[in-house]
Amino acid sequence: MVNHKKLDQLLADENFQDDLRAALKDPQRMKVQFIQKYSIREEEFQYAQRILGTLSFQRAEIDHKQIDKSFNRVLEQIERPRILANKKTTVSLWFTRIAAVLTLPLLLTTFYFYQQTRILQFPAQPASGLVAQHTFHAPLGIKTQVVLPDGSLVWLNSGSSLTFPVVFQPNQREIQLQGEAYFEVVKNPAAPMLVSTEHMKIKVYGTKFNVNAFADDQIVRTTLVEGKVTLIPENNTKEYALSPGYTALYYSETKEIKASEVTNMTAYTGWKDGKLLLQDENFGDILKKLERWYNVEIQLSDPSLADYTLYATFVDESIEQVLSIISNSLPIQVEFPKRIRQADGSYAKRKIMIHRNWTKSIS
Amino acid sequence: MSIRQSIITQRSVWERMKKGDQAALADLFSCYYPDLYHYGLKILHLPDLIDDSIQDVFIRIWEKRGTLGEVLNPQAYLISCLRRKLFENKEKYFGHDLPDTTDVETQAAFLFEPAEFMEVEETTEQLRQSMIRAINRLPERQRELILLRFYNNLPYREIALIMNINEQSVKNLMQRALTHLRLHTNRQLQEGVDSLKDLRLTLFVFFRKKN
Repeated sequence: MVNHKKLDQLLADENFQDDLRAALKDPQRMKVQFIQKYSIREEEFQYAQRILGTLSFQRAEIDHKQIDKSFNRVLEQIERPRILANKKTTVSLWFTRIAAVLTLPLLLTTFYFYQQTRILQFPAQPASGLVAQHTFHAPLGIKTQVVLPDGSLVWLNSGSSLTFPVVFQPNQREIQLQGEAYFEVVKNPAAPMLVSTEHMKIKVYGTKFNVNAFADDQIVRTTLVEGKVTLIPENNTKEYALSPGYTALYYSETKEIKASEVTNMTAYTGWKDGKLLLQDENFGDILKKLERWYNVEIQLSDPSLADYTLYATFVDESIEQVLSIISNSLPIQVEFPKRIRQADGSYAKRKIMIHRNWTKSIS
Repeated sequence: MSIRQSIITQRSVWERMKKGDQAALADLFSCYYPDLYHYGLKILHLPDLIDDSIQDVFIRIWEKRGTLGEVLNPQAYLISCLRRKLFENKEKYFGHDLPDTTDVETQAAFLFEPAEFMEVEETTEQLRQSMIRAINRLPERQRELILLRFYNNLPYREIALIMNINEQSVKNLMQRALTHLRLHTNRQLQEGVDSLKDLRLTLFVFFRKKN
């Protein structure tokens, strides 16, 4: 019987290998000694010998001429450095000269730009209590991306605007939002970001979240992707913390806050990637969304239509396609009146009329 | 002369080279060229490139001889220099992902052929054949370990330096490799025993008949 576990361990032992290979050369004399030293059976010895014996390699022979030839090439290289070293000094001397000539203008331009930046930064200092503000506006039908002074990213949905100071104060980052935006805020516990909307403020330390606060909606929807935010409604000293994966609705009329878990995050953040997601929203809200998304005006001839709800996802579709798809599931008929040409030759905003289609039953 | 003694002599030659003795450099070159060449071809089968790379290694060593640190075994040191150089070149020539169109031979390093093995008494032809197949199926690093240990006869400590792992890892890798080889040649190992027994039996019968 061969104890394989023990043998495997021995075979990997350096001294065992050396001894065994010595025994291969002189089998009879070494064998007994070897078997005693490692206290193994004769069978195990033979087994090991067969494995390591098979791993005996033939030495590769190389012609001495090849080696000599190769070494001569080494000698050639070794004896050259003296000349190379001389060349090197002349080359490096030239580099020094060129560098010396270039250094002065470089220093001057650096100094100039340094001065310039200091001048540029100056008005941003809140010395007089007034801070210069930027306002970015995404026109209807257009989405835009803004980089804040601290490196935070903001995607601005169409019809929204964002106001922020040229330079943030050291202990607070205050910005104002109208409309909808998706934020990726750079973490800075020392300076929380305060996003002010018309009816509510949102305090942020560093996170990804979406805020929907269009003035005509009367509702502020905050959706947290990751991190932590707290909600501070108007005229309220209490702060409400929102967990990641939750969305909170604030009804400005009733001053109520309702939070619910998000099953499909893309429904709230997909717009920044060009996806228009409609999830259990009523038709009236959907039309408001479409108006902003496509920069059109949509009129409902029958207000009772606004109460239908539907689910849909659109990517890259035109307004005609979107409405024709919706008209498949709602009893509506869409009318695209001809655009009116104004006196100055330009066209007015596009109008779309939606009527109830009595011939269609509700599916 | 034992391996250890020859290493000590080689170290004294190395010291002479470090002091600027060109004859010592020539000795080292002709002593280690065959092993380096053999090792190099195992990584990249491009003889001219290997020859060039060995020359570069020796040129660099000569140029840096004043700042070279303590070297315990010149062979291991030279192999690790060449190894680094060749793996760099291999990337340069073939990129990280070798294209499918290149020959398999040029892709995989440290493969073995039957002609490289010695015919020893303890083994049979079948065992040798299945052993070679088993070795070539090992992961590349384990094949390299087999070469460094059983062809170059380097101790684990030196192999550890070459392969950039610690000594215990070398041992673990070796045990894994040998266990794999044992398991994949088990039948031939057994047959080896059987055929030896058969031979003894035949001889026994043969001689008995004569008597």
